[in-house]
Amino acid sequence: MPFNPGPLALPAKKIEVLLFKSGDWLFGSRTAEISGLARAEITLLVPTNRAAEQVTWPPRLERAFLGWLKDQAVAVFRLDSLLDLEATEFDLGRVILIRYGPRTIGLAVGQVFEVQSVGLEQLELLPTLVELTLERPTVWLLLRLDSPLNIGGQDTAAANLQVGQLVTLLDFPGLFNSDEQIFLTNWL
Amino acid sequence: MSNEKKFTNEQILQDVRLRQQNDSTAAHSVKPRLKFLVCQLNDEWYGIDATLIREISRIGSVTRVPNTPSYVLGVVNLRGNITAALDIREPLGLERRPLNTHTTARIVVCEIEGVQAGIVVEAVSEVADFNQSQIEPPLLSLGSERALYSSGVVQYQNQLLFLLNLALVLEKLKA
Repeated sequence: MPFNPGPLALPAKKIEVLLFKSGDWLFGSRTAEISGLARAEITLLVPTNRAAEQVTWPPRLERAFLGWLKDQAVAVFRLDSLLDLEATEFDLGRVILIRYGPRTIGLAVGQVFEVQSVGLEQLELLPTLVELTLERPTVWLLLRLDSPLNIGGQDTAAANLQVGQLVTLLDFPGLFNSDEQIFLTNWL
Repeated sequence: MSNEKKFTNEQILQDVRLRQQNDSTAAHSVKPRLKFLVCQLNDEWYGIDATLIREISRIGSVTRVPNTPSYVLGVVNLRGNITAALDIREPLGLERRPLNTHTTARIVVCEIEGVQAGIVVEAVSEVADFNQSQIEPPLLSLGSERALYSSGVVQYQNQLLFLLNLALVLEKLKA
């Protein structure tokens, strides 16, 4: 009888996702969208000297702006404010660095957890009704956990994720509307 | 015998045809009873067309989605079926109170015109059936939203039961 090796076992496609919290909201994002992480003491961020500025900031960006990181090279915004969430209380936060056009932008979040490797079969589309009602295209996909996940160690109450639990994966460019995109690209 | 001769065969045949036709029309005119899931939103009872319902489940873990209107509570995973969890009280003009998610509250998963929606309710009671004749047009005195999104009202256990027109509710939410 000839040997039948069966179908070739192809390696499952996987992506890497960084999980993080803003207040009590848990989010994820593809690590491919992130250029780095910075630990920033928010109180030490350099504020903008608005009087010296020649441009008017889009109101939402102005509200979300925290300060400058690394000698004014990177503007840091509160992610909670950009997502219209309740304000997060943090003094020492983590800043997720993303590339936006020619610039690097910082998004201040509460906690950042370890990177997870997830299979594409764990990704789910948003239900139609949710997608239709999104005010901005900030959500990319949902991650469905296939096994329990304990992230963050001591913060067990908020970070013990159960099988089947869904995590919202953000699409960072969708945070900004067209006016804000122009401002970020040309003026900031 | 003499009476019988007054009718021709053709007349009798016509008479039988007519009678059968009437019987058939009468049979079709009996309206089927309509089934509704009786559920509670705040202190009021509402009926959801049972033919739209796919599943009734405990609410469990709701994952919130940012940048959605307040009536979108989030998304739920019901054994692999990812569904929107909607709180339709606000669109119906009802006060938004905390839900007893750990006890009586349920998510009623409906499919309306190919779109699935999980309607979160305070409690479910039973599936009740009503004759079409029992259903009255929605009263304008109900308040504009409730009248707009009701397909009718019916007496149910000495209370008014508002029959929800979910297609219209979802249409408004999508707009």
